[in-house]
Amino acid sequence: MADTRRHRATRRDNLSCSMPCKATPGDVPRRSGGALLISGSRQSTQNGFEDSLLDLSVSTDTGPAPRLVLAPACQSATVDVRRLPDEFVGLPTGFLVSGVATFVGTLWPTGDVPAALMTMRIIELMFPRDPSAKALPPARALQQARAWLRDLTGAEFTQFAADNQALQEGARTQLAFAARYPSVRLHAAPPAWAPRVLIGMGGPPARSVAGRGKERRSE
Amino acid sequence: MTTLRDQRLSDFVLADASDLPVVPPDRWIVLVDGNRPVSAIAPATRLDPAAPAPAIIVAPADLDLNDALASGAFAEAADVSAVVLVDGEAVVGVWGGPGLANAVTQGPTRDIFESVLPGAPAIPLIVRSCRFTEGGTICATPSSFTSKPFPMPACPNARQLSAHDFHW
Repeated sequence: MADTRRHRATRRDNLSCSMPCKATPGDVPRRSGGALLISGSRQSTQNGFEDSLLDLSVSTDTGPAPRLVLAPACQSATVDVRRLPDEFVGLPTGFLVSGVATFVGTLWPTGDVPAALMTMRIIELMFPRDPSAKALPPARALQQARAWLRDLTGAEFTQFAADNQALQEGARTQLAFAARYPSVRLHAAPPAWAPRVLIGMGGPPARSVAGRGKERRSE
Repeated sequence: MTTLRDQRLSDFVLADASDLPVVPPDRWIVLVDGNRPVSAIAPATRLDPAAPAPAIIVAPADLDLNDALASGAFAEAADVSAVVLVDGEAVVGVWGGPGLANAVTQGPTRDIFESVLPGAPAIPLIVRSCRFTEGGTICATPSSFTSKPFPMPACPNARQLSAHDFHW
């Protein structure tokens, strides 16, 4: 399990939590006291950055659990049945048990750019900037984001990235190729758009109740 | 393991870099300097003698696709015309067009199983022509890099212009 400080889990509010971290199914939380090891996520005085644990239940101690968790990279939605053949746990289970209503994860790894595009589109559809635009429920947002990524042409990719500084810097090479092939659907192959799945509530989420996860843990 | 050789390769012909040919309409032209590929010209494209030859990536044909996409050479592939595949010193294929664009756009995957058999690592090289211009003459000396260097090294300066660093 790797990656760096920029991959730390972030919890923006009690609505959503996006974690582009790298995790394997075997590192997953147990039902009680579950935690996810985030590599290099905490600043250390001696070694720069060190690993730390993200307590999956911490949100229920400080307020309502996030309603949505996006874990759009690696294989966050897969379950390791080799090391724990008698159980069926994984990141999705850990988060759902801790009170999260909806988990969007990934069945197989994809490149950084398709993962970023998919995540940005899901967030855009669920939390539109335009107040007059209708916010979509998670399942519908995921379905539309997958179709959008599948049909995204080079010209549309260029246009989408035009006002996004992070994409312009992080996807410079990809954008150069997109400009060369404006009519080509660059992510049309299923390995790029198909791996994201939703587990949990797909409809309009009811606001979660503070302490829900805590109650469940004590069951 | 998917290798570069498994991609949809295009037909090509070899031509000496000092003797630019008329471009045939239906295949790539790989320009070589001796045995070394230095550029590749897309089908139905004419090379402007006043402009530098298009940059290419030269990579072993059996290199893993994911390793190639994660390499320093592919990180600087924005203006690369094609990937020229070699087996030893022989050019065995050209990978370009929308297939290359699709692969580059999707990028390498962060697979959690990254073990490989031991052996000499194969590293793709980016081959570019120097863009230094003096008195209307472009240097155009080709050089190979594993990644974009900083600072730029001195240019081999094949046309005997004023001494200069390599112009990316």
